[in-house]
Amino acid sequence: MTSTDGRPASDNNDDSPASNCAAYALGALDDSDVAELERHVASDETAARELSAMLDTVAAMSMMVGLREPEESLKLRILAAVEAEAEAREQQATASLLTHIESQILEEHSAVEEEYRPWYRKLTDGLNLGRLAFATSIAAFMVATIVAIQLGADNASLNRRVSEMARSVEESTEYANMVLRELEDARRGLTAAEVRMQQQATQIEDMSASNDALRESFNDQISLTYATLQQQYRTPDWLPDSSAYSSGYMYLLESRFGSDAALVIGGVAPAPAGEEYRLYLVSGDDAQHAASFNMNQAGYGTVTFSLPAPLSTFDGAHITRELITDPPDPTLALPENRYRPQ
Amino acid sequence: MAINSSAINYQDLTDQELVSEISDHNRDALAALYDRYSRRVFGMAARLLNDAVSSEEVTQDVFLRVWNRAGSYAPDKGKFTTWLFRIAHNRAIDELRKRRRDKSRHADDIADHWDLESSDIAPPEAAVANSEYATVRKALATLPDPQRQVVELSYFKGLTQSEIAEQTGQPLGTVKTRMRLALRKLHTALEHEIYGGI
Repeated sequence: MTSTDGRPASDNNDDSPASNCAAYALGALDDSDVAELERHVASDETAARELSAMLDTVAAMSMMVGLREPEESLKLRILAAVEAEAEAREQQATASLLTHIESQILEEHSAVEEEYRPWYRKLTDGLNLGRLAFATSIAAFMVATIVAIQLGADNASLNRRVSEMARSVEESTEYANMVLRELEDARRGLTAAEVRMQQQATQIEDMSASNDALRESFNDQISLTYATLQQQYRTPDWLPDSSAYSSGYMYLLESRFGSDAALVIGGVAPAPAGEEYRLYLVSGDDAQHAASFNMNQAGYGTVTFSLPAPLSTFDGAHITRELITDPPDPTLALPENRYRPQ
Repeated sequence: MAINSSAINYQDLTDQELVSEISDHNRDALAALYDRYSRRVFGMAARLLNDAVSSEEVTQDVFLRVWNRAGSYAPDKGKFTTWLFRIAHNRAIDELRKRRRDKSRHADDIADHWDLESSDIAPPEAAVANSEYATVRKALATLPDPQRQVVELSYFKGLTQSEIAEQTGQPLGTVKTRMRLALRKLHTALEHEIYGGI
């Protein structure tokens, strides 16, 4: 009797999974039958006992068939491989921890960014104010031009005024651009702070302390991001010829970073030869000399200077026109050629 | 239970205690286990493979697997040596099968295995090795030839039962039955070694 594959038919018809225990123990079971046998043994105690005895028998043979000393270096190779594996595992664990820390830092960063969003709005408000000044100046320029055309007046004073208004438009445009640049600087500053926060994330060991430190660092950056805008008006005796000008103005700008400030002033006549204008920052009865400057022929001037203290600590400013050779003396009563904006 | 590693002699620990330490990635415990069993693992591999280089590769793989799988060893499922030498024997016959696939081995007689000498170990241990191996040979000799043949082809040459059936021209069921009967007889013949310790 033969089987379908040509081999003689079995003289034993036990095809149960348990019949494969011996082959399993000898490592001779075909791969396709291994899983079936393991399932069977898990639910058949008799088969499990038989398999256990057969496994013990084969293991005993394996222990007895040879006893030879391997090369001494084999032990070192095995321990080195184990060492390398342990290091790789530790590195993987460290990488996972860093990823976790990074995600937490980014979450914290998002929360801080949200917290300081109002500062962005303040900057945007400053930008809008600049745009408003720009639009107002353009409108005034157009009105003045139309009036001039309609009256046909070749009035030198009016023409000068129109010219001044045109320059005012230019300056307003510059101012608007400056505010735009400051807004862009603020965004770059925030990006730099974000990069610093991520770098710190890889170095910290204590998440809580690290996050607090990053938050404070961020606070320091953002707290500098503001600008102060102050506008003053001239008094009647500011200008020698009040009929020539309708108004004067002054901007005091404080830098977002460091202690730099800028003064922009318009509508003031140039100082006579040998004299200059001087800016004093007033705090109560104390007036500190901050900058000296002069005006161009159009009556405009700008000067940058270092603030002796944050602008917010002063409650006013005034301008004098003094002899260049005189030392600044803010304790003197204001003489006729010194002016205090109202 | 963890053991205070700074004050122990690992050679004094039982197999089970060493495996427990290894599952906690204690390299000293692995070194102790290696010292205890490496000669038998290497000797078994050399007996089957007749090749020192391949036998060292097998031995290295076996102990690395112990390192990585120590946590999966369940004492209630069987003796540690059964678990260890099943890994070792399976790894060795994997190597034999790979050689067959690669057709890289020329000397392929079972007799190769009988001629392996234990010349590279100390004389007292060589005597033990020869004695133990003689016990296995004696046990195999008690088997009827057909039963001994299937054990030799499977254990020493790594043939599966289907391959044995094909090579011997016997039905698969017959091969299974002969294997089963052979192992039962060997279990009886080696009972002292199995339960009395080696």
